[in-house]
Amino acid sequence: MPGVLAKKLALTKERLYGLIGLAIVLALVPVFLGFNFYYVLLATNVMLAASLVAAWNIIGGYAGQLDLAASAYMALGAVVTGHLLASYGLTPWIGMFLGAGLAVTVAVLVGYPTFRFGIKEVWYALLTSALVVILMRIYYLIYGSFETYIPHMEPEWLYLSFRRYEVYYYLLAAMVVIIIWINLKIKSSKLGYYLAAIREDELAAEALGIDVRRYKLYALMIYAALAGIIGGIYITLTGILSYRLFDPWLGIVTAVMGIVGGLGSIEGAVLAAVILRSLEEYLRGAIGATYPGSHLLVYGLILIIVGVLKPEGLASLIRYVKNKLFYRKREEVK
Amino acid sequence: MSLLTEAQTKTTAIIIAAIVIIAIIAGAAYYLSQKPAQTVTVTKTQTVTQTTSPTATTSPTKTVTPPKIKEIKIGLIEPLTGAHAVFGQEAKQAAELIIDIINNELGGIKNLGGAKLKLVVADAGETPEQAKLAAEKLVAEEHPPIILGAYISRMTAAVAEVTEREKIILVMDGLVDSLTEQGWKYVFRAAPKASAHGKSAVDFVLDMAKKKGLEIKKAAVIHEDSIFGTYVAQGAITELMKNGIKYMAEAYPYDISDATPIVSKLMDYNPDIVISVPYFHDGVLIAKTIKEMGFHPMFIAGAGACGYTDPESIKAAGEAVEWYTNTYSYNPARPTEWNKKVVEMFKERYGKLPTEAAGIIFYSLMVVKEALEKAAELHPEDPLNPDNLREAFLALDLTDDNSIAAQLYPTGHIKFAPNGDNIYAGTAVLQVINGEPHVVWPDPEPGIEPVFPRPDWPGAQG
Repeated sequence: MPGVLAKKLALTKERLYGLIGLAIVLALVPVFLGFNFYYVLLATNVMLAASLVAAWNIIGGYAGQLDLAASAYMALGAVVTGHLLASYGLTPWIGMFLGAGLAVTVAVLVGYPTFRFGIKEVWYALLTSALVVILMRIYYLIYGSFETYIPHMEPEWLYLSFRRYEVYYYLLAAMVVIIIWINLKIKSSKLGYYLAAIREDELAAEALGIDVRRYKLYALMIYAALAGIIGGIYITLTGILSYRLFDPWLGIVTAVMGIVGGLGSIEGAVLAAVILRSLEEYLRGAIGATYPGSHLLVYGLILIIVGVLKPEGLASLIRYVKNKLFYRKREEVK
Repeated sequence: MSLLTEAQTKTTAIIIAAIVIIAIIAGAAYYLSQKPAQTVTVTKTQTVTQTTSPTATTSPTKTVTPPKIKEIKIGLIEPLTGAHAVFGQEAKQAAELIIDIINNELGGIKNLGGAKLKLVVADAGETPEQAKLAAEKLVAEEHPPIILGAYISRMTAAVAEVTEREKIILVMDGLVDSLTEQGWKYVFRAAPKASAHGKSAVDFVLDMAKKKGLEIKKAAVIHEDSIFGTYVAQGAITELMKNGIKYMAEAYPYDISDATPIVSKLMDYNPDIVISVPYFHDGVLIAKTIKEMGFHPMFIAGAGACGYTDPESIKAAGEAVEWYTNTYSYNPARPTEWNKKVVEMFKERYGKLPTEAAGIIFYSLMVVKEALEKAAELHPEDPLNPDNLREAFLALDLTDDNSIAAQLYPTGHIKFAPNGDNIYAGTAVLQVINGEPHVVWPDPEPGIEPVFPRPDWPGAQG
């Protein structure tokens, strides 16, 4: 049975067990946290960061494009879902897919000419970073500086309007599992190999006959759609719509987490997001109020230490641990 | 393995969904089975009401004895880090000072047998998510019956969602109007809301014009287009319309680099008075441009407490902001006994004058004290119950004679409407006179007369 399932999911057995294990662990987290409001909300925020970084890994890790617009696609999903919910009472279950649709549309509109004219590396980063600000201004022109607060609505399941945070946590945890699966699936597919070739050497990949533009655009579209859906869930959690959703800083932080995790390693990316986001919040809560700003200093120092000691990111650490376990097993068999 | 064999993707998606759904159901089942026990885990982070109320309900035969309350936790959620840290830090300093005054000089809450207040602080950070986390953390660890915060409107809204669910009184120091329009039940705001700033600016100008026998027919409102600036401008416009004055309104982004187009529009319209809602740098720019282009209206009044009359603006704009005014949620020069005393103590302890962020906390915390006294009077059996506290807040009618809170308030009168806003909200007006900011309205500093109209207005010389 697991063999059939693994085949159907296009995964190796080992990866399937890993995913199922992860799903079980994530499902049990709120239980271990005692359904405490604060800890579950914190875990929800961590899942939010993890799912966004996992989505970013497709464009940043596999395709090797330093994309800083994660918050733009996420905010597009959020504002479409949020405004349709607040103004027309449209359920977020539909709204988040419409939002994802808009995110994909924008991704194509931006990505097609960008890849057509061969904008890459630093220039691609600058362009995507500017995209966040441009979308923010467009939103500002339409809605101004006003903030829309989404009220509590009944029935809760239809409007995703809960007073507790468990449902949001499980939704985002499910997103993490699904996005990791999509990542693994891409990695072992034709698209994945093409993207890896593009990441390593774009010119060589093109010379080999890979349609570089098309596959980069595919990666961008998948990433934008996932970020849009995450945004849709996110807005039902916070319920505050304003132009500040288009946050350039969040786009950068997402990329930083992905890079610290190790480019192209989905385990590393998710692990980095979980560790860094929890650490950031813990430091802010523990010392941020007593010594203002000190949490940022510590956070920055940790980033530097990781950068110096493990430039390949957490992925190399995971690989190291894996190899250790694997080899030990072999020795025991002997 | 190809990526997009459709039938394959479909089945795989269904299987993954099944796994996740099973996990969710498992979690939800556990959570539902835990629900009744939930209250126990919450009460573990004991507040006095929660631990005492069971004893009150389980012994109905006895006459209810007032619970002994020794300490009441007061929560403060302010942006202590990030872009708005300056305000949050000052608010925290102000809160610490007032708590010390209440506990030591005033002997705690008298009607509760001298119960002391204990300040518990959380950092609201920079975003609504961070503010919400801070609120949940404070609630989980301390569960104070009353929380103050969180200065920035969207962060205050995030905190309010938590306090409403937990039935905790939130005394807001965020000024944006919409915060009291959400139908929230446990929120109060003593401070004048944004539109009250705009209204005060117009009221001040009309009051002065009446005193000097001048007539105002046309007015112009220019404002930076943030949510705060827009609400301030709306307040001004509403007041102008009420008084039958013709007006034009113009919004601009706060980070403009050239004010010439705005000032040209003003000169074309040629209003008697200008109501301006600046942020900071834009105010400097507008004042300088008005001076350079030689625009001389009867009066230029600022609104919204940012720019023009603060020391930084005066330094940056120099003579250009002479005779400009601005509205403030707090009047540090108000000549009441307690206001003088609090300002003096603040200066002594922190080496600076209290600004708006501190001022709002001064009177908001004193209002909290009055509400606690009132709650103890109205409901001695359970003064910290949220509904009893709400009733006490609504029953307050504070004036200079009966409270310290009102002595610290610009209008000297605090009474809450059911939506949580102060019915007698108002601001103080500061004016730059000889390069120094002075309070000129409604209670001028001793020896200071407001300059009105502007001496460079052609009508003033004739």
